[in-house]
Amino acid sequence: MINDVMRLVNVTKVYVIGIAKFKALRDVNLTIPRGAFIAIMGPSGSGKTTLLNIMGLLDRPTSGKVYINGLDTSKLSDKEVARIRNEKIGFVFQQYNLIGRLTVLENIELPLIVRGIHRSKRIELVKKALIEAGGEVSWLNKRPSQLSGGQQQRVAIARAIVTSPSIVLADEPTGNLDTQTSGKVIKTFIDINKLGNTIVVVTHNPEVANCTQKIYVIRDGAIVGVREPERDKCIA
Amino acid sequence: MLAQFIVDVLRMALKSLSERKLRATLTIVGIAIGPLAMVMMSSVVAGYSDYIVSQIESLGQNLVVVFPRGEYELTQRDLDVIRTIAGVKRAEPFYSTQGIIKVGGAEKQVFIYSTAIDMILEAMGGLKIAQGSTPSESEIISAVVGHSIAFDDAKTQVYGVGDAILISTYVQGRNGISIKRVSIVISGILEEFGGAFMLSPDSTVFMPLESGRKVLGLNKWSGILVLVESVGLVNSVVSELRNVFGNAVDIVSFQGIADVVRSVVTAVDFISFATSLSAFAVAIAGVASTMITAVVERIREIAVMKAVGFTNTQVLVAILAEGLIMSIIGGAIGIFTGALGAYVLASRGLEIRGMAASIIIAAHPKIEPILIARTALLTLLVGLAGGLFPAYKAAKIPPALALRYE
Repeated sequence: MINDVMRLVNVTKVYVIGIAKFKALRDVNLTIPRGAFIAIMGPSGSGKTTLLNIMGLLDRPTSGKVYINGLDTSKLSDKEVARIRNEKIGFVFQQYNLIGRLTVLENIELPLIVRGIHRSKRIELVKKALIEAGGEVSWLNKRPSQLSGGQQQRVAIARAIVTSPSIVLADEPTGNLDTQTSGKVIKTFIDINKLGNTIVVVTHNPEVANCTQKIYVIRDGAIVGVREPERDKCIA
Repeated sequence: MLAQFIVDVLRMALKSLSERKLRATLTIVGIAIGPLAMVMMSSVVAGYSDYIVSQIESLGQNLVVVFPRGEYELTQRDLDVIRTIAGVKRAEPFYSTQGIIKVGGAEKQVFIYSTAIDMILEAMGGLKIAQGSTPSESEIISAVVGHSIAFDDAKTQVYGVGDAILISTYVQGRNGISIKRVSIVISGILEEFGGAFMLSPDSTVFMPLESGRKVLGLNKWSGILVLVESVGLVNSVVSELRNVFGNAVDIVSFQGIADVVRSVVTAVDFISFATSLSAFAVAIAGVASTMITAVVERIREIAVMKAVGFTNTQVLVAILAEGLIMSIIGGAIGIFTGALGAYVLASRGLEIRGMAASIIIAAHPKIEPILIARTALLTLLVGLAGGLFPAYKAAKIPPALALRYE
């Protein structure tokens, strides 16, 4: 088994706006070992989300390569990329991005629908994921609007891990939460990391980054440093 | 696996539609108008068409009538020529006029035909004697009368076999039309025939040929009835008659009239079909508008679907399913209300003014499986055509961009 879940080699992303060109990422090289819990930290506009989107195959780099479990994704078709997103990657967004008209159960089972898994089996997997994400089975038939922000983010985490992906990518997962709730959500990430999940958290909050195993600092689209977290300053 | 995905997509689509009930309902109403119009108009037109054609055909599909044109006078020589034409089974001359008979308290306008009555009965299969019998050729003051002459409007029998009736007839003389009163004896009464065109057997008095000249005072044959051996030979006999007589006569074949009616009805049906299509076109615009709005509103949701692994095709199917569901519901409502409307429309009847009088026919609408299938297919196409562009746009949304969409 390849030990690195993800490897980025010389990844560059250039946005063309009219005649102007904007370089959002510059020659990013990054390796994420299996089971790691890392943070990518930087100020607003530093390219964190762009990097995460490319890591999650939601966007393609202008140049450079993204390997997932050793597979070069640059030449894959849209359909193959969608399959990798479904099987290997789980996303957690700042604004949770739960679908309001669906119940908690229906939101979490969304990635399983793509696979055509039978409903009874899906319910089983959803319950397991929700409990692992620190949620409660009693939420299953509730709408997201009936839950607090922290609870909604747990549901989003459950949706990200329900397929047992190779890596979970979280974009500012505590950005909409108060300090206390942020601590609880980060604690959830620590717990699911202990279960073997590889996690990458993008944040501008040092208290969140300090809860991880390694912090990559990004500025102006480039990784400018790697440092060890200060555990005593972790929010969780 | 695919079946489970389709079930899930349909469930999600239903949930999505139920979330925006008013908009979906209005779109469904818009969709329903097309199938409603198509089923209602086509089935009513087809129903009346079948009724009219069957009525014309019942007058004798292998019967051809030769009428003199202008001053031309048909003679025994013409009759002999006609009888020699290949395919002619029998040819008999006839006198015809109109008259008035008192039936119960009311006066009724009637046709009077003076000819070989047995040939009429042979040519028009649906015409049968209910009471009495046909008079012999020599019984010139006897007649077979139509059902509505012997019976009044309340279906009460007014005249029976052996009764004498007084007819006021119109006679063309040198000084114009004069009225002549003749008394005849009923020797037979026909079964009810129902509404018919050109001829109305229920309001007709059939007398032997000689009655025309000797009783009614008619001195010129009104025409010659030609019975053709088989329906397939009608066209060739008509063609030969045209060759022989040229423009001296008018030739009427009921089969030919039925063919003309059929072609007219086909044209009317096409026009009603084209009219219905415009309703379908409007429905496509309605579905497209609703779906585009839905896609714009749910752009982040679509991005999330893609983030969790939905392929472009799966997103397209998921969005298209909403259009299809609206089409299926709209189609079912439209077809049902169209069928209902067709019965209501047909029950009003259709008034046709004939030579004798106007008659109102009430034909059942013809709702055939092919009409339902065609309408259902077109309605499904509405959902597909209206939903395809928005669904395609949704499928092509770049997820990274859409996730930032506010």
